[in-house]
Amino acid sequence: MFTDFLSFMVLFNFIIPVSMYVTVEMQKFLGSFFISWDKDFFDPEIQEGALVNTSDLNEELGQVEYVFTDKTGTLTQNNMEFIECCIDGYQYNYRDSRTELDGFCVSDGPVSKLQEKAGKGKSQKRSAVEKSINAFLIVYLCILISKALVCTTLKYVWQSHPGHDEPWYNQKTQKEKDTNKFLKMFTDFLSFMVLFNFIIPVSMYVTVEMQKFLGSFFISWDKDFFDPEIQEGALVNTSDLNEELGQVEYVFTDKTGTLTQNNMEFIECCIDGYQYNYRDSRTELDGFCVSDGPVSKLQEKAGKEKEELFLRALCLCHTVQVKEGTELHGMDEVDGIGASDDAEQCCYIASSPDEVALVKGAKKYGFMFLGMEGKHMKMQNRNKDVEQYELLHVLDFDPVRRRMSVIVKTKSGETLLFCKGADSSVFPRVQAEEVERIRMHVERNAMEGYRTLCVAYKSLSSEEFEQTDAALQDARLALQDREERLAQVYDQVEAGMHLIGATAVEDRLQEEAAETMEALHGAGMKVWVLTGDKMETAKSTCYACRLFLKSTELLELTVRTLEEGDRPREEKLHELLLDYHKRAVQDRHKDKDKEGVTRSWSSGFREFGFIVDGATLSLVLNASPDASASRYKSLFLQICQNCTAVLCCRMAPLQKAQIVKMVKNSKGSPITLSIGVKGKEGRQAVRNSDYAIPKLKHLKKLLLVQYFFYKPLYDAAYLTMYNICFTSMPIVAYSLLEQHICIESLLENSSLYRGIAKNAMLRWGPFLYWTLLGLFEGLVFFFGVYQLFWNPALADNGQVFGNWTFGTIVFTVLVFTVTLKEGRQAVRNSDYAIPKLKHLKKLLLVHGHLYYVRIAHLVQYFFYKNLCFILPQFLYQFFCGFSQQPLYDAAYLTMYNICFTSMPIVAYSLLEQHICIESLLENASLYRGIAKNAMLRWGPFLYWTLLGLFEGLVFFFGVYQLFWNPALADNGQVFGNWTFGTIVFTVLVFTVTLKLAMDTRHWTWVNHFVIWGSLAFYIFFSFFWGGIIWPFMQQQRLYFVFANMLSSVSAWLIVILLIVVSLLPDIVIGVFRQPQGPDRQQSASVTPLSYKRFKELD
Amino acid sequence: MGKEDPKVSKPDNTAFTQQRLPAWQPILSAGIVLPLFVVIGLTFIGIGIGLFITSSNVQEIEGPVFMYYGLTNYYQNYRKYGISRDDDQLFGNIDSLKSPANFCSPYQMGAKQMPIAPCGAIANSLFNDTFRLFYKVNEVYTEVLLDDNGISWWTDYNVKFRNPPEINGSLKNAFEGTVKPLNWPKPVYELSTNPNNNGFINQDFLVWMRIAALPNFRKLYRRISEGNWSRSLPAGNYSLEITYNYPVLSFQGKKKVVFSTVTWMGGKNSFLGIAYLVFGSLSIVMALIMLIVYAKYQVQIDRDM
Repeated sequence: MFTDFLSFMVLFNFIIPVSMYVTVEMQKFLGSFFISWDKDFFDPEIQEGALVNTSDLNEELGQVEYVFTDKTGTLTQNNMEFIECCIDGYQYNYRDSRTELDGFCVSDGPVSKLQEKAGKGKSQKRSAVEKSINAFLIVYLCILISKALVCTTLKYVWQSHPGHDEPWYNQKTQKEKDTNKFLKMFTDFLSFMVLFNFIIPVSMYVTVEMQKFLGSFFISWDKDFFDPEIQEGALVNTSDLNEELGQVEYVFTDKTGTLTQNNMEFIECCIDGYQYNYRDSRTELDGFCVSDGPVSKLQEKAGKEKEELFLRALCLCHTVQVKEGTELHGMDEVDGIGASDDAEQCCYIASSPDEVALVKGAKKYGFMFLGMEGKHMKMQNRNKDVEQYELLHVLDFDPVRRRMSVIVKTKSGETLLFCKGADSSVFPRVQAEEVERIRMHVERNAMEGYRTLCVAYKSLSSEEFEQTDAALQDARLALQDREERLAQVYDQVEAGMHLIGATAVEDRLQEEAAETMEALHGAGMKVWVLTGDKMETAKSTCYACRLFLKSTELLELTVRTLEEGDRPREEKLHELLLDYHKRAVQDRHKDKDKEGVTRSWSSGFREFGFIVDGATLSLVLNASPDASASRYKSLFLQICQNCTAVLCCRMAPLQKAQIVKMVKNSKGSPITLSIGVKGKEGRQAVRNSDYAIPKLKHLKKLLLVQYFFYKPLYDAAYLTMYNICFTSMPIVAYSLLEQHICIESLLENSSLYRGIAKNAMLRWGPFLYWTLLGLFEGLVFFFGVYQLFWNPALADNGQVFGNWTFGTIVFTVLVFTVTLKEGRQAVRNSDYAIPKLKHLKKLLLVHGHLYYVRIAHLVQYFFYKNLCFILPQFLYQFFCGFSQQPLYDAAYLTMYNICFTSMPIVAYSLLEQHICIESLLENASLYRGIAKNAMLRWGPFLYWTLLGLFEGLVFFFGVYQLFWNPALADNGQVFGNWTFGTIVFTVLVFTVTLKLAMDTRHWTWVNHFVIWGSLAFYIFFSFFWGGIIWPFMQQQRLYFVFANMLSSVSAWLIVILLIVVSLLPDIVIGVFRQPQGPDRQQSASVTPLSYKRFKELD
Repeated sequence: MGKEDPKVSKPDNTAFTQQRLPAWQPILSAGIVLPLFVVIGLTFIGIGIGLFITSSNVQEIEGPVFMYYGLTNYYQNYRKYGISRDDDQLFGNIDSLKSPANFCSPYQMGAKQMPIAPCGAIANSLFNDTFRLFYKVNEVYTEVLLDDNGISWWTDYNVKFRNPPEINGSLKNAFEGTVKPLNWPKPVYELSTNPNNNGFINQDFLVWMRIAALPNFRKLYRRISEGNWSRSLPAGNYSLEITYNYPVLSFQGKKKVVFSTVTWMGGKNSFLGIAYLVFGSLSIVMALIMLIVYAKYQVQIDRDM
């Protein structure tokens, strides 16, 4: 009864539409292109169309019920059309200057926003491992095809011998005789393909996906990433790129908020050339402490008027709000920073922490901002009087202008403009003599790594104001070029101001930032800091982070160096580039040649740091479009690549993207990692807004799903799974191209969208309808066409039925995966979020390293085990007249990859720690050992392939020699072909599993369980499979074959011999491959001996 | 912002999630590999010597002697040939007896579309040479009794192959409505006079139906285990009478008859013994090489330290 049940299960299992998953994936992937191809989404302004970051959610777009949107930047700044929101996710990123704090979450990922912008070519985002897999797959495909070709050719050669083609004992049917010879050849070729198709490790894709998916949990589970402050651990949004974390070569980081905490603290200010150093205001008389700065006049203060003006400016010139505000200003993505004040029980909220710091700084000096009341700003002055100012205009901050202003009206009717901004943008707009007094302070503060802002004011006459007011109103209402016009007006107003002072705000370094950076350095990664800050500020931060060391030789390419001397900039640039190139690239290579491998850190090996600023960069990148431009670029790139750290300061956001793009596109397309600060919700919003025209997609997917449930009903009636090829293409085409309502009418008539709301087409009703339809047609089809459809030729192929079933799925999957896989990787939006910068070290050095080693081993192992699986089958063809006789039973063929050898490698790929976590953390240079895809290059691949070849040869010819005399039992009975195959298969399963056991360095109970469990399962299954006369099977090939085999001592001996013979060479090579000499012991970390030695050194 | 339920977001602190499961970390160092090779080498050489001696002893005709026939260049493992059988029919299934599987084609239906029993190419090509062995003592030929019991697998004889249920106590009636395979001189129910060795469970038939793995093969024909011959075949003159029925010249095949004793490891096969010896010696040599390299390497480390 049980066997009957099983047989019926097998018979009807096709009702489960397995291939649907493949097709749905394909549909999603290909379908998503239609979104990015849609030219309606092309925005001429940014020269970009819609960007689809994921293909997984296409159909969700048809199901949107709630739309969350941000006002600023989504609805107001851009066109008011809603559809704009879709690309706005992109635009948003585009503008997002990373100088703002959106949350404490440091998130990073090989495909982070910067690169999304930079890497237009989708293929660049494919993981290096995927690339290797595809390359290996092509090799194995070639092997498969050539094997089939060789066998087909040899078959006809063999048949040309007399007596071979049709011996008397094995005559052909009339039908076979009638078949066209070329057709026969073609079928032979196909049969061989089916026979050998197991060499393509299809199940590897499943395993790799599984490994990635499950493996990514380890990142989010890691309690080291848990930050008690925000009560959150790491967030993994993608599982596709885990192993890329082990391959990072370039790290792009933003300074503010990433290297530093973006937790600003007001340190000091300078008013009219006098320095005020805040210590602890509450104990001092008036909140002031005068420090003896090198330039300030000792014990002197600025005039009280100036002082108060400055503090009022600080209090007024901002967009800070008091209390929990719902509306946020500025470039804030989602959330602002709240800073609560204990004493006053009020909370400042602003898009930028600088502003909060300044307002709080002013409060310490006695001026407190109380909030807005209507259009009036309230503030409390030192005498506890409340002053009110009418806020007339806010001239917004933006990263291009690098300043902001407010225009207020005092009670006395005076109109004042307060402006604060970066020194570079304020100094040109004020009187020169005022600048001189302040500049030194600003520069000194910058050297100390503080963020500096200058404050200026201007009093406007009523005419001036009215003029400005009108211009501003006009510009704001403009429909075209609004932004340019606004900028123009701003520029006019903010001129001729008086500088009153400067502030210095400290941005503390992230916890363990220096350690992290040092570790990244040690791991051979090149760190690029991209920031909008002043060079001095950025440089001191870099020193503090130990990105630049004392010994680092700095190469500076900034406006300052360019302007030394009187020659034109271009000339100087050219000269400097050549000079640096000589120093950083050529000399270094010479050094290397001279000193060879024994080079030490002290002897002439110099580390270079490179500093470049925005203006110079644009000079390099956007130089006049002649031949020299590309030359500059390549020189520049070469210099950068030879420097351990690169600092790019004064960068506009667009330039940051340019830089990343440039590096990504450079030779070898290195793997880069960008770190930046992002709000989680913001990212979510971006992700969800990646689509347009939703409903069409939805309908497509859904019809597809229905069709698939419906189709196999009558397919199952006749178990011809290889129809899958013929029936799948129409539905794929349908799913991609169908427009049951034309696009225009969909756009015009939005109520159509309601028709598919709430998953209307995938509910039980429609499902029932389709199922009934399928049932009906299935019945008609089955009983009507039964006789007609019964084709003996088909049944003849049923001999390899198990193969056919699997073989066709293989082909389907194969064709799809090769195309599908490539793209799917590319469109995935991926992100890892970790709470703090310090966690980056563990993420890369431990998780990245382990994932890479695991997945690389997994991939190689899969190819290896399938090669030595199928090679004996190939060799057997030479001894069975190339008749496609399978060596192994169909059950073994199918179960090999699914059951017998899959679990150990899955456990390995999840749990392996070839080097313990502590050592990985301590010794960053271990990371270099796996750099540049070291384990998935052609060398290791060749090694594994040769190993597979060797083992396949050993298996087959070992048993072949034994079968010279097939009387292996002690009672003189002989064994047949299935025993032959079973012996080979037993050796195979044991060898392959034990090979993995040998490679496992980290045996947890799970490993023990699955490795020994798999072997036990194989034995159990073989007994079970051979122990029953299976009623639904045409042939009882394996009946008691396994048990009889075990009763033969010779079979035992050959199995043991062949396993040992196959495994020992690998051990020998492993031992001999040990590093020679002490300096290489750490680089070759994966070989067994070095590991031990490494442990000893610990 | 990020203020979710701490219970949800805080990662579990378990050994598994933190990747800190207790683990055994074996290290394949030269210190382990060297003795391993030596042990394997010695063991294998030991086994090899045992096997070799055993295999050599097979030649001496002592103990029960087994008689094999061999065929060369005969492709029993040809796929079309190998599938040309109906295991249901051979299992005694009456439906399959009357309508054999399509795999059997062109040996599925005989004249007048009568089903062939047993159907298929394998059964049709049953080896039908017969041998009789005579021992010549004083010019008198004594026939050596050949035992055809137990030459096929126990499970084949008892489970996998069954005659269709007899009708009126007669096997012949059970096969009513079928015809004999084309090449057979007599129908399947007349293969033997012994009712326990007749029809589908005829031992010669069973042996033939277990198809050989390679084109040059041998199959067990008889055991010499009766009477005086069960101990051994005494030295002397023997004569083999062959009824030559089976054509092999058309496919350049050869036939042979092999007399052999068997041991615990089966028939004579020197490969296994030699392989064990060779590989055992190889691993000893390998161990020596490693010892030298390792010693040098160790010295080098000591010097560097």
